[in-house]
Amino acid sequence: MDARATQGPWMEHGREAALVLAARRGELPALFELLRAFQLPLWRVCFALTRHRGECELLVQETARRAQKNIKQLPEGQSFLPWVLRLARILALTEARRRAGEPRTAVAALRPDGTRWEDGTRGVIDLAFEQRLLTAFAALSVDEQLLLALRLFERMPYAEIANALEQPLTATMHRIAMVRERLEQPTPGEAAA
Amino acid sequence: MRHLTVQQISASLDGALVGVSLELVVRHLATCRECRARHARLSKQDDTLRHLLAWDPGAEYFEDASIRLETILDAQSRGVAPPRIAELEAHLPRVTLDEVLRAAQAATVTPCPAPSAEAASSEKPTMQFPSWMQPETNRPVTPRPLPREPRKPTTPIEPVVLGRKEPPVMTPVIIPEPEPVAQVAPVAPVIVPVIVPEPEPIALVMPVPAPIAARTPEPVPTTEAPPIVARRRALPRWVPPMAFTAAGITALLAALSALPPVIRIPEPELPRFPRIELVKRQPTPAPETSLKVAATEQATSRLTANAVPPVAVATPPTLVEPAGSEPEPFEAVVHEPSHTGGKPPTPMAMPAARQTTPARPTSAPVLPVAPVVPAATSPVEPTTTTSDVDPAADWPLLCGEVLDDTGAPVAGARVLLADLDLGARTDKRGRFCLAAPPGDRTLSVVALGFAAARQVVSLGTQTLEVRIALHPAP
Repeated sequence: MDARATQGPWMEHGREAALVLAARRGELPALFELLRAFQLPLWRVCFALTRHRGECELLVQETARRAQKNIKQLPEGQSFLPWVLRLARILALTEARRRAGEPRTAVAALRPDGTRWEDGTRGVIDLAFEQRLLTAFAALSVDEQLLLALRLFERMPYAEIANALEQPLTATMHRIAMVRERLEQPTPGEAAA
Repeated sequence: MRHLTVQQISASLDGALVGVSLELVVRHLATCRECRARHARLSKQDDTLRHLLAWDPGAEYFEDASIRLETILDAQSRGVAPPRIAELEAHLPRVTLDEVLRAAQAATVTPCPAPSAEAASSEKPTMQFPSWMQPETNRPVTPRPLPREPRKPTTPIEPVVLGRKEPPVMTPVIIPEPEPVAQVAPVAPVIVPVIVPEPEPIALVMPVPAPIAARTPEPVPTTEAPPIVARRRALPRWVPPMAFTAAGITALLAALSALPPVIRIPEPELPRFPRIELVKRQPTPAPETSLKVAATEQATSRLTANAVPPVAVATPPTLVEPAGSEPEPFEAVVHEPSHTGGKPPTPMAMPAARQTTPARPTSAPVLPVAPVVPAATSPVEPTTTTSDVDPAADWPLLCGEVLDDTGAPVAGARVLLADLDLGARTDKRGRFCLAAPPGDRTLSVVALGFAAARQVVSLGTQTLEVRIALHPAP
């Protein structure tokens, strides 16, 4: 696997360790710098978990608050990002359990008038496929969504994903393959139709 | 031939295969069309998900979000309640899965060529959001080149000291020595007495008659004949013993008798309204019974033939109920309010919805009653009345039945003439009947679990029968 394909943050390990140490002492600027450094992956993962911009920001804020509160529990020498991602995962799980009966939030690929949000161009190559994929992704569990988000959006290596989710490497590989297979299979509604 | 497992294909997609495993997969893909198709399917699936769920709102958005986040964290570190950005979620459009699927059904799936730059610029989006509030962005994730530019050394953030003030400048103030009073011999050092006033209780100060004061060896210091008011005044510390004598009691009684009479605040005249009393109803006369019998099955034609006015105005004031239903054992009798005061009651401002029931204190009160029509079967419940139509007119009847897809009657459906604000509910057999002025009317039928139905009916002088079919709500 090409580790250079990772889209993750770039921070020297010594710098990160120093910042973590300062943040553990309660220095807010150090925590701010850590959060800014790992902002993009945290936001992307939160958006994949919530698929809503407002909820994504709320999840990031709550994750940062938890991080500030529990920064002393971060073991020395451990990377900041996997620990923050675990916090976000726990919060997303709690939120998913709270909203168990509510309709799932998905991302619309199109505006109501049929144009894309991004550039306003009309027409999609395979709209039905995209919507089916979004539906299937929304039906995944939080752990499965997080697994796929770390791999597909952050392009994290298997080892880092395993470290972030605190699971064995082989289990990580197997679960990613299983999630891909689940997305490939038709949804229960399609199977019934 | 044994196909590749999904683990092998997944690892191949992720570039996690090396050595013999990679060679095995590559060789198999070169020969097996099925596995090649599945590999392509999963690859397309990954690309589509990256395309759909990637979100890069830009540096400005991240800067703003960082500021908001740091504000919250700073507030939390200081123990202050963090500011809630409650409007954030409210302003953002929330797209549910149903809306996505609905949009997918409504949109044309046929691929269109990309429009030209002019056409794209001429197409204005229907909804304009701020840049940071764009609900969806489908930009594909572009892998960033590695290594990036070396990070600039971040400038250390200087801690902000809150509440830091310069020490106050102490300026010596020279207090001049007070001049000696002429009567008092100057003594050094000068002792200034400090008088701390005691909290003054509320005392009712009574005037003391003059003759008693003359007999009093020492006048009471608070005998300045103040008015009889409750004021904050210090109680006299010394009570003359004469207050307990017979003369003192006499003087006190005299003073009490001299008090002005009790001032009564006149009560405002409260508006009085007619009182409605429920009185047991007398046995119904024979004509109403015949009317009830006639109204069971073929009521509409008979009612029009008998020219029963579809308007009931209560004189004497009794509530009129629709025929065909069980008569209420009580009837309402309105009692005229008796005004004992000289002035008639001032009318109270009533809300607009109640303006149709003005109080009539002088004449016999008439209860405002909706135009009630003897229904064909029963319980037609006239719900509202209208003020812009003449209730005394001879309105034709609009009767009908509401059925579902299977032909079963829909009970409890709400039938409305929206433009006239008239309505009724269907009975157990799905029947309804209401009176409305002639003309073209829009009949709306709303029922729980069914989609609303509308139908334009043309009311003439004759009774109109309609049949409305409701479809289940989607």
